Amino acid sequence: MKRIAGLAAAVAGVALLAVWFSRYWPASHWTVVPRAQLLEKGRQAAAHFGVDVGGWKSYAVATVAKRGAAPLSLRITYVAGRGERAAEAGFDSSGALNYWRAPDDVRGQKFASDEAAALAAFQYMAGAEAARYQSPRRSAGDAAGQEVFEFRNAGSPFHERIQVRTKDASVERVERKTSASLSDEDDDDDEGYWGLFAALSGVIQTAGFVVVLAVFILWVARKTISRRFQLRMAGGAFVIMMAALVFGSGWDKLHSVHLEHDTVGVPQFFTALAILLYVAVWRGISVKARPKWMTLEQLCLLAPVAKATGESLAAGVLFSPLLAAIPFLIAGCGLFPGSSVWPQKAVLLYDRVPLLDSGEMKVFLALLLFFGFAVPALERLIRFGWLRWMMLVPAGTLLFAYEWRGVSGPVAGALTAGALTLGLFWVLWARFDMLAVLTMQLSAGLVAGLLILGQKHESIWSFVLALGGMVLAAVWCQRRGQEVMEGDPLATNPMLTGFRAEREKLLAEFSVARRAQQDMLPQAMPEIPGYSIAASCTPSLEVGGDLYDFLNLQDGRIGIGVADVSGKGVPAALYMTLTKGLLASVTKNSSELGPVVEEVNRHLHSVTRKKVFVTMALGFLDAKKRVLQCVRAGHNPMVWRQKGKGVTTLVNPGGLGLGITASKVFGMQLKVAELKLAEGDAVVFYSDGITEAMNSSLEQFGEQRLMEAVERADSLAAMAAHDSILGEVRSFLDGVHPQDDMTLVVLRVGG
Amino acid sequence: MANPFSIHKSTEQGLSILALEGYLDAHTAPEFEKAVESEFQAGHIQMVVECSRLTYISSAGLGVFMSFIEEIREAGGDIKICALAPKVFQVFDILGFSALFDIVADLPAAVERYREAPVKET
Repeated sequence: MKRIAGLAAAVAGVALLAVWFSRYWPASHWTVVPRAQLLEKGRQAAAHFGVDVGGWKSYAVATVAKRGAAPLSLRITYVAGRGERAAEAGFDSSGALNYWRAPDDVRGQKFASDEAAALAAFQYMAGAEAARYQSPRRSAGDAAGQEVFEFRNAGSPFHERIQVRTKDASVERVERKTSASLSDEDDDDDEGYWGLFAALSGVIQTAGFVVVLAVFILWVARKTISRRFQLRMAGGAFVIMMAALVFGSGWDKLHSVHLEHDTVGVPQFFTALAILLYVAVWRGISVKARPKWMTLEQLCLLAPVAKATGESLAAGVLFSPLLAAIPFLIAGCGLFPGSSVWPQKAVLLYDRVPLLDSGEMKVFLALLLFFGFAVPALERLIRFGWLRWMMLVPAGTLLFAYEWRGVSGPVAGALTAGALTLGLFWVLWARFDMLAVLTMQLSAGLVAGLLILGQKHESIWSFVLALGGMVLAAVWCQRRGQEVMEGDPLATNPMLTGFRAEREKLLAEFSVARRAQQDMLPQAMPEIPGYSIAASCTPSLEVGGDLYDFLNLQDGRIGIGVADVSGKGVPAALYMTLTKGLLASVTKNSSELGPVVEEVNRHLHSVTRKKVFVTMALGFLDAKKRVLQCVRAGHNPMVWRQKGKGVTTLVNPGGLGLGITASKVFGMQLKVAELKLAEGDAVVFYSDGITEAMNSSLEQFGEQRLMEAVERADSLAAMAAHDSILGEVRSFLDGVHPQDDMTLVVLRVGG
Repeated sequence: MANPFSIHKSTEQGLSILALEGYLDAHTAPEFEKAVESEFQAGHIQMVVECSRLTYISSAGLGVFMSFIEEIREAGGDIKICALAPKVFQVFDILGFSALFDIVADLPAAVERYREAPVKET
């Protein structure tokens, strides 16, 4: 089904292009000047004005100088060093010089006067046509000491003139200007509604950047990104972005402060990077939207060979002629008089590497923002489908009308183009995924480029190669790719419909397990006259291996235990329940601390696998005599705060972990400590999740901080003391998600 | 922030030395387990685990020491542990490993210990 749709789209797109392109855009409209020739002309012009740009770096961009049906204007920028100085030469599409700007700090050839300089520049620019121009009108320029001379072409039906700016008797700028109107105003690309779109786009990009960065930093802080997989992913995304910048024109432009045209700015670059990382962080994408990003993610993992990747690539390539046809359709259909195709794609012709031009990057950015940020954000924030659509459609239309910029002319035409573009992107997004969307954009650029060339040109082969490469990659992925991708166990083929259901089912089962485990912990604290007691256990994952329990012993004493099973997650949780059961059953027959622990050890050793062990701190409290017997079976020492004496100690009798050995060594090592408690004393049992809690600067909470926290809680009853200690651990962690289960039991003598 | 872990194998005076480096936790424990097992399978039952560059050990890491020790001792071999950093030693010690394993200051001491007691007396 999808295959047929793709082929139909390709045929329709090519047919549309074939009809409308020839109708709207006869080949004669374009005279493509080879890049090398253009560079040479620029060099000659520079030499004429007394600036030697030999050895300077050069960049070529194509822009549209005037709105409407004006010809393409090509601009070469020469940059010395790291953008310390830049000169610019502009040409019309026939290759004639129509603009020259000297570097800011380099004065070219010095003339006798400003007038002489202006005249020389004018004559160079006008050539044989010079006679048709009127004598210049002189005025002061924007910069101090700058003079402006304007020569008007009396014979032209348009407002055509040559403007020369001079300073200190040398030429700063020469410019041929033409406009259809008779006003003196300069036409500028970004005036009028384009200015509005630009502002809107800027706001969306900046907001997206800030939000995405904030979310990203939050995740880093919580260390969810520390998974090896996600790191690799982020690394891959970074490599791709950097390659785009280095091989495209963007990197040099980042350095050069003088270049203002069509540059990918630093904020845009980092927005794109942040969004890729956002995708990389994975949890940023809701479970529902996740499959849409899977193939792109796979690409970022630098492991793109998968069947789904091939499908997305193929879809993108097949649908791309439709996208490329949109501007021609708008300009040629007759509904929007005055519309013309914006030859933005011609920019590609003058890039060293096609497709990595800033214009293309901007569209990528818009796409990533729209589908990666706006769509999921609105899905999360707004429940009503119709309201969401009412926000998404206008926003997307405006965004793509501006960023994609297929046509220029009346606003209705531009908006229609924006809406059609949005629709096509949406189809690829809904039917395929994000990779298909991006591929279509890339491929449409190539198709448009090929069309514009339509004839012999030096770079035609790079276009054919790039397009062919994409087709080959699609076929290769289809034939050699695996059904299910490797790497992340969750990264299954997005086309497998069972994926979501499976995952959600698992998550549901985990939450049942978590509840069951929490229910297993004592629901109420034991009532011990003359004591207060408080306890909590917080698993780091859904289920954990920590445990606390209270026991009513046969001899009337109260047992207080904290245990920690080695490892984490489900296996640890299973052994945790086992330990709890053992403790309960063994204390039915015996109230003697040493033998109880030895018995638990024997059982655990016989049933656990060899590498699993349990550490336990267990205390038997004689409430009336105020005597607490404790053992420490491989567990962290207890903290004993003697309020009256003002002393805090670690109770650290010898003892091996449970389940390690059943030999007599265990009994020999196990020592029982006896604490004679006094009014106001506190005994704190805890698991290593407390003392080993690590903050973002990789410091551990440690025993020292714990003991100090217990001291500070001196005046508090158990519950408040417990909360205060845990509060100190949390503020120490400062937002970092605990890596281990945390268990804390506080026993306070008195009230 | 992936936690790096590596094992460097060598032999010294017939003893098989496993030098651990980095983080030994639930993620990296299987690697260590595999290394110990392959030594055991190859008949190298006198092992020294050198820990001078081991920066962290979790309970899963400690589990590896336990999982083989009985078999190895039954076969007449042992695992001696040397050069623990103070923080790592504390983890071993809390669990009571000092009673179960020979834990010595450095590699020469481990070699010496093998001469005195090839299998730890318990």
